[in-house]
Amino acid sequence: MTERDEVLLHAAIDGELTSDERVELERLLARSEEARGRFESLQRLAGIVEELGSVAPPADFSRAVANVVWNRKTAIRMGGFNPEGGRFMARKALIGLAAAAAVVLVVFAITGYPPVGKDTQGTIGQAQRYQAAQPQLAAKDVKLGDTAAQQFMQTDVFDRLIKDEASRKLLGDAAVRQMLADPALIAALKDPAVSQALKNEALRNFLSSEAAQRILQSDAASRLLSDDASARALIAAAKSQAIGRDAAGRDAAKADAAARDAAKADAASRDGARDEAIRTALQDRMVADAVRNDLTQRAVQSGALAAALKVDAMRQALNSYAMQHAVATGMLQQALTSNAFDRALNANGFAAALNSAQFANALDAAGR
Amino acid sequence: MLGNEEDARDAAQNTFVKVFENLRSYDPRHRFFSWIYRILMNECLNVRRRPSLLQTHSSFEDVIARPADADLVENAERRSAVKKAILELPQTYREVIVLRHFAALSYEEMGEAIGIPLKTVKSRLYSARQLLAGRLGAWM
Repeated sequence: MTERDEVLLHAAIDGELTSDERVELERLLARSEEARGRFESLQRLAGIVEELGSVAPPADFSRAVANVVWNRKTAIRMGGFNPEGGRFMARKALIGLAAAAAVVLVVFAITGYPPVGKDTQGTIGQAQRYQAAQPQLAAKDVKLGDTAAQQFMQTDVFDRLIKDEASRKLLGDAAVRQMLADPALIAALKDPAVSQALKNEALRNFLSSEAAQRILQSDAASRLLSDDASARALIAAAKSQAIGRDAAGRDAAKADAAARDAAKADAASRDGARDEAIRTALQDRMVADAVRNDLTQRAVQSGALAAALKVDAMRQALNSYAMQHAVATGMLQQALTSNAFDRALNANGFAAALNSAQFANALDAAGR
Repeated sequence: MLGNEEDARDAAQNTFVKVFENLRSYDPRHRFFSWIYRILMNECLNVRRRPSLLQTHSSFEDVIARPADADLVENAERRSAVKKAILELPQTYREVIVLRHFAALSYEEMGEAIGIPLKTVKSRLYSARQLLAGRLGAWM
C-alpha cells in the first residue's frame, strides 16, 4: 500500500473522490487484497464512529441563548454605548434568516420570476400592516431544528443565496412569508413534474420575461392559473400559435390538433384568450419556447402547479415589491437548478420547516 | 467534542452569543457555517481549559440506560468505547473527526473552519483514524 493508495481510500470514505480517482480506486481494490481489507476496516471505523450520532439540543437552548444576547445588549446600552446600534434585532435574527433563506428558493421555484403588479402599492401596505402586527422575534425563533434545512444551509448554494441582497429583501416581505407557509405550495414543489419543469431553461427564460409579467398581471391570467384545465388550454393555445408561426404550414396537422385542444378549453380559458395581455404574450418567442417544452407541459398537467397557484397568499406574494427586486438575481436562478435544492425540497423535514412558526417569526424580525 | 453535555451546552451558547455580537466582523468571502464552526472550535477549547465544577464521569456512561439484553449491552459498551477513544484523541485530531463524521463537512469546509490547508486536513484525518483504529481494534 502506497501513500497514494491511503489517500484514495480515505477520500472514498469521505465522499471526496473525483471521477478519475473513483476509477483509480476501483482498480486498486480489484488488484489488491490488502487495499480491500484496509478499505473495509476504514468503513467499519466510520460506521462505529457515526453510530454515536448527534445529540439534540435541550428544549430551552435557543431561549437561553437569546436571553444571554439580550442581557448583554441591555447592559451595553445602560453603559451608554451600543456598538450594535439599531441593527441589533436584524442581526439577532440572522440565524433564523439564514435557515429561512433556503425557503426563498421555493418562491422562485413555483413562481419563476414574478411580475411588477399593478396592485403593488396595496400589497406593500398590507405587508407592512402584517409585519407591524407580528410580535418581535422571540428566543425560540432562532431555533433551527430541522435537519434538512440545516444540511441545505451548509451548501454553497445556500451560501451564495444568503449573500444576495435581493433574496434578503425578499425574505423580509410579509406576503412572501405568508405564501411560504402554505401546504399547497410545498406539495406542488415536491411534485417531480414541477421540479423537472423548473430546471428547464426555456421556462425560466419565459418566467423572467416581460411577456410573463404581462400575463401574470392580467385578471384573466389569475382565473386561468387557478384552474388546471385552463392552464392546459393556455399551453395548447400557445403551442398552436407557436407551431403555426414557426413551421409555416409544414406541421399544419400538429397545429390543428393543438388548436382543437385549445378549443376544448373551458370558459375561463376562452376569457383568458380574449385578454389582450395574454394574446400579446402568446406571440412572444419565449412563451412559445417555454410552453412547447415537454417538461413544462408535464408540470402543468400534473395538477400540482395549478393547486399551488390557487393559494391566495401566493397570488399576493407574486405582486409583492420584494419579489420584483429579487427577479433579476442570476444566483437565484442557479440555486433553483441545484441538486442541493432538490435534496432539501424532497426532505419531509424541510417541508415541515417551511411550515413552522419559527420560520415566519424569524423572517418577520429580519424584515424590520 | 467535549464529552460532557453541560460543557457542550456552554460552548454552543457562547458560540451563538459571539456570532450575534460579531456579525460585523464576518467576512462574506468565507462560508457562514465555516465561520461559526471556527468560533465553536475555539469555544470548545476555552471550555476544556477551564476547571470543571462537575465531575465528567456523570456524563455519557451514567446517562445511558443499562439495558438487560446482551446485544444492547454490547452496543452500549461499544458506543462508550468509541466515545472514550474520540475524547482521548489530541484536540487537533478530535476536531477533524467531529467535523467530518458528525458535522459532515467537506475537506474544504473543514479547512476553512479550522483554518488549515487542505493537505493538513487530510493528514490529520489520516492520523486521527490511525489512532482511533488502534484503540478500537476490538470493536471493529
